[in-house]
Amino acid sequence: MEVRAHDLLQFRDAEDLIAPRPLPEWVGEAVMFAPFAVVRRAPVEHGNIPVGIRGPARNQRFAAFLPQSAVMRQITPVQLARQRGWRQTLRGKQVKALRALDFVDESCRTHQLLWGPAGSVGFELASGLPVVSAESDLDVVIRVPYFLPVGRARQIADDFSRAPVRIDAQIETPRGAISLLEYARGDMPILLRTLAGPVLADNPWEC
Amino acid sequence: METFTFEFPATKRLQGRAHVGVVGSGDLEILLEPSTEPRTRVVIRTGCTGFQEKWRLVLERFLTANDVAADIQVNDFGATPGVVTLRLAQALEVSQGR
Repeated sequence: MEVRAHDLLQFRDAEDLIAPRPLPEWVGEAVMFAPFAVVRRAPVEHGNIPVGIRGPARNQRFAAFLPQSAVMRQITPVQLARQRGWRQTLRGKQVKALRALDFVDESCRTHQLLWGPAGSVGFELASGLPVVSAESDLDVVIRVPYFLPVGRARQIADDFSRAPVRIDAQIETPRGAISLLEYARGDMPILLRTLAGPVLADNPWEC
Repeated sequence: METFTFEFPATKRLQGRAHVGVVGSGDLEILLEPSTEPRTRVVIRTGCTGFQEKWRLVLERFLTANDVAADIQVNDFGATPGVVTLRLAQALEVSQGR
């Protein structure tokens, strides 16, 4: 089973989670409402997937592991973008961060890039739980397996800047993730988030 | 939102200024400027409350290894200590004209 950071994993209940310390009370509640965990950018350890649990408050995040055997369904950001679930709901028309999805969809189609929503928007589209608020940003990941010229990144960043909310876009290279905005500035080195932790890289595509 | 300030003694004058990082979840923005006084002052604005002591430790470790008299402004959006340390190193590199 191949998982990547930002994938959403559906599981049965909080007892499946492996954590070094007792689960806070809110974790049990959050899992009861929406049994989904977000894959963290860290190595899989002995078949246990590094995941995070989202709580109702902004600073409520709990890091744990989920055994592969406990995963009932895996939903990737790219699948969520392909399904375009936001076009079928009223919230998709009302909530700014959900309305902004069409901006990203159009720009990424023009540039022929695979993309998908992450963060609260990805979580809402996967779980159906209305966690996106009027203040939410739109987090997206863009999968770019081959070198992307800075000029192209700048065009995409320009497209995104016209959206109704701030778009926090991460470019996923084979080595890890970089910020679209930072890469579009053209200054090197830039921060690359790898499975082993963050590093400064002059070329985020070169291993 | 929480704001706090730290001061550490410093001796070496910083050459240039630097602005690195991004406004985005799990990241931070750092503005680094030379200071004429023999100290480094760090002002941190963060949405994640209750991590003041962790910030002090991360900054102390970095500034012990890198003696620079500077004014540092940090706008934090939930960066991990690893990201904070790398962004500080990046800001220092940029200010030295690399």
